[in-house]
Amino acid sequence: MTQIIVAAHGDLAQELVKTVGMIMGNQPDLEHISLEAHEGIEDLRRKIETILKPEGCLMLVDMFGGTPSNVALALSHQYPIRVLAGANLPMLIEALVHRALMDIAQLARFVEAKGKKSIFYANPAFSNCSCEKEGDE
Amino acid sequence: MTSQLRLVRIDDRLIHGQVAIGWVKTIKIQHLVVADDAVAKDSMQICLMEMATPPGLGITICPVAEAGSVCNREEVDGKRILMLFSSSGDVCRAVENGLFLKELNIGGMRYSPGKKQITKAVAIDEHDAEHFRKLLGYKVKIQIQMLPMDEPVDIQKYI
Repeated sequence: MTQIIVAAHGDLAQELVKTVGMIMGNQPDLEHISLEAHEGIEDLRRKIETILKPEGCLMLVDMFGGTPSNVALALSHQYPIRVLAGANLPMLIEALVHRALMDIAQLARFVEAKGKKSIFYANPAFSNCSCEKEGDE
Repeated sequence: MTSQLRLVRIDDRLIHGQVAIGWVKTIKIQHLVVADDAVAKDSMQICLMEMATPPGLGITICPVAEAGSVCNREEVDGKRILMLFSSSGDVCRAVENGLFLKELNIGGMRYSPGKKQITKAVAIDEHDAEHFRKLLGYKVKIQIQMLPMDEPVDIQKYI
């Protein structure tokens, strides 16, 4: 089972993992790493190295260019880590649902595409739906 | 007709994350049925339910009394179905109108004043208990189970 690590500033990673548990139940090989205000690059590197499985992981980080993302990318030279920036709940769900079906690189591409589709201005989508409905009836 | 009723569930939120992700993926559901009188006549709610339906799945929204006959419709032929109700009374009414039911899953029944909280997501009152006893009398197996990986709990000890 591909390990998934969510890494983010503050409590975001922990809460994303907790929340996905509410929807899907507790998941094996799903970890979270927090970067607290007083912590730096070395702390984060140590945390990742401590929990990383030797066969590698898919890492969802909160924001490209932030420390979790920078550290994860730096470590990806040394370890089989694939990094996805812009983590959100739909991405984490897709990663968990599909991780048994593909390798880490394929999973990264797949979740990237799903993540992009998960972001849209919802009101127009909703009004289109109502219009169709009225047309149908 | 070969449609299969894989899960019949009481969930007062109808289609939401636990259903759309937790159950649909785990038991490979292909079609959702929402049997609810209020939703069936409210175009806005129909719209929300359709939008909440995971891509690739079909959806049928019908009044409670039609829940039994939905399984014979062309749109669900050959499909693995998950059917949702929002209350115990609706399930009873559906069964009395011809829905053949062997098992009933209880997902979410929200607390309101006068109800007794029996699990984290389920609160029931004497009316619910009465409906469940009636369904048990029809030989329906009733279990509380929020998510597929949760341990199912028989309703008997609470009613």
